[in-house]
Amino acid sequence: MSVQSGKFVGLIGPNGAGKSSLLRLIYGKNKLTSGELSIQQTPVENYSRKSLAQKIAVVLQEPDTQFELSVHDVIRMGLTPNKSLLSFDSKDDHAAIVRAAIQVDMEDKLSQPFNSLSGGEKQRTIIARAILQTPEILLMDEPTNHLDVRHQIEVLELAKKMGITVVVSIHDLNLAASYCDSLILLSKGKIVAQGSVEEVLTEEQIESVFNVRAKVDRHPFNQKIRISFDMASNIKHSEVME
Amino acid sequence: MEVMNASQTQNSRASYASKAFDFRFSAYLLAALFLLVFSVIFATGSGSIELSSQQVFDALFVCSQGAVGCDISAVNYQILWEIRLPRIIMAMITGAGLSASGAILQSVTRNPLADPYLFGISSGASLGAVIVMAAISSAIISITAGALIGGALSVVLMLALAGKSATQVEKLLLSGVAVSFMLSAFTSLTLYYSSPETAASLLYWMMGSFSNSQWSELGLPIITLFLGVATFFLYRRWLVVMQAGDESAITLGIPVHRLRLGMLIVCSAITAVLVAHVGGIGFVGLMIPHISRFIVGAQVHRVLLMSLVIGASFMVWVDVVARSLLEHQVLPVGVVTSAMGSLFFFIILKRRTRS
Repeated sequence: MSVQSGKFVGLIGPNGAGKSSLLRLIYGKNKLTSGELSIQQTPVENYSRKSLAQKIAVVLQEPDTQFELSVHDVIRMGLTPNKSLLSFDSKDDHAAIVRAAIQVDMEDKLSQPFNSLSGGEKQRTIIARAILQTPEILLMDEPTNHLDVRHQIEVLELAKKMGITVVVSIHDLNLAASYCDSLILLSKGKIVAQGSVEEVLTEEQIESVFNVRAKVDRHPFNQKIRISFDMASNIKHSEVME
Repeated sequence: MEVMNASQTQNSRASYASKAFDFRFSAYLLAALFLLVFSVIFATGSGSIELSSQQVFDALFVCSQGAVGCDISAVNYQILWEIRLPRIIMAMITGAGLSASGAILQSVTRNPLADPYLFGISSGASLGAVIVMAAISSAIISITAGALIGGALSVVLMLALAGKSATQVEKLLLSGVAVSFMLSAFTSLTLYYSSPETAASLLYWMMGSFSNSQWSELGLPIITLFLGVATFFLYRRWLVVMQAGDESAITLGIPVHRLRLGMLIVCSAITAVLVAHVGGIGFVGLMIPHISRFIVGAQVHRVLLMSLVIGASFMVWVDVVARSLLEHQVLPVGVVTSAMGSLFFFIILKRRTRS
């Protein structure tokens, strides 16, 4: 697989397909055991942890902090890859923290405890931290999980606005179809299909990978690909459950 | 244009909030420093021979050697300089060192219950010191060497026991607890096989005391504490990020496992040197970071600074209580801290249950 610079790429596939594992390989959490992975023509193993963090920002499902960190504290962490150990925060750094908070509409909550935020606010805070990292690539691991539809859209809009390469693993196929320039479909640790949304999200491929019958057509609002699932095909399963 | 103005207003509002918080932190820190100065002056004056604050001040800053030209007798002058001050300074270093170690261990493990005791560092240092005292000599340099070896042994054992899981905090903590119990058992065994006189003096030592503090013994604890705290401050940026969890810290470029191990080693060194000098004093490393975090929030450098100052004051007061609670008798410091620690956690439990 290859990801073109500046594109918004979605990783889709059923649970356990290897989406998160693939992202972990890219951001250096897991080591490659075979194959090659290069970022801008340089093998990923040639990057130090710090230089990788200068290039790649990651938005994860952030766990609650044991200690009460404020929103300001969490966003400020984004300065870390670009700062030396001995350095202090400058006035510019403080201004950059506030600017990042303004970009995600969290400037009024800078002094609030991170743990007290809603799911959407937490994700926005982590995106502000990613903005402060000034990366060239943004990786997001299921950033829309547990969010209502408005906040799902909000999170993906913010990522898109950053204008950099984004690779996002996502479960909601309609959301993926709306936001991604291209998709990579994974199943059991292998790439099943990759390419444009139209090429990847076909009825046959969805059925073979997700084991669910689906109808693919165009959405009347924006002409993007729309997937409707055939609930009748799940009746058997529901009966078994009863 | 309007948008720019709005964001500028927000910008200044947010930076105002941040400045206000900085001011609050500075105010708290200053108050804690005043408390420390007051504590030291009070502790210097109190004891079996009471000295007024004027006498303490004169002896510290006005009189020349031998209390010439001051309203303090030569004997009291000597008590103050040769007995009380080294004792108070040792108490300050111990309180500051154990509290700072606790604050750092809690932050790198993201566990509010982590402290030098939970990781088995104190038990290792105690075992090393006890073996040296029982079998070799009670010179401070050999006790310190024994405690350092014991502390190092506990870290090695903990890592060996955790094996590949040492990268996971929970497993590391569990193996720390296991090592702690194992080494405590060996300490008890050493006590069991010691002569009654030796066992009695070892038991007293294990409960913690500042009674034997002398100027000549303060050098190593001061240097260790200074180097340790300097290391903590050097890595403060990384230590804050560790609080977001291992996975996030890795994405921000932090060598998580190396940092945790490095901090564990520094905390072990501080704890071992302190244990060698004053014996086992529990709960301080657990309690003071909690109080500090409650006052100044979770930023590591703030918690660290506050823990150092509050820990120092706390230990000075504990020593005052230990000296003055019973007439003509000095209680072991460890007994006082443990009693206060259990009370403290009972209060926290009540507060949490209520909220």
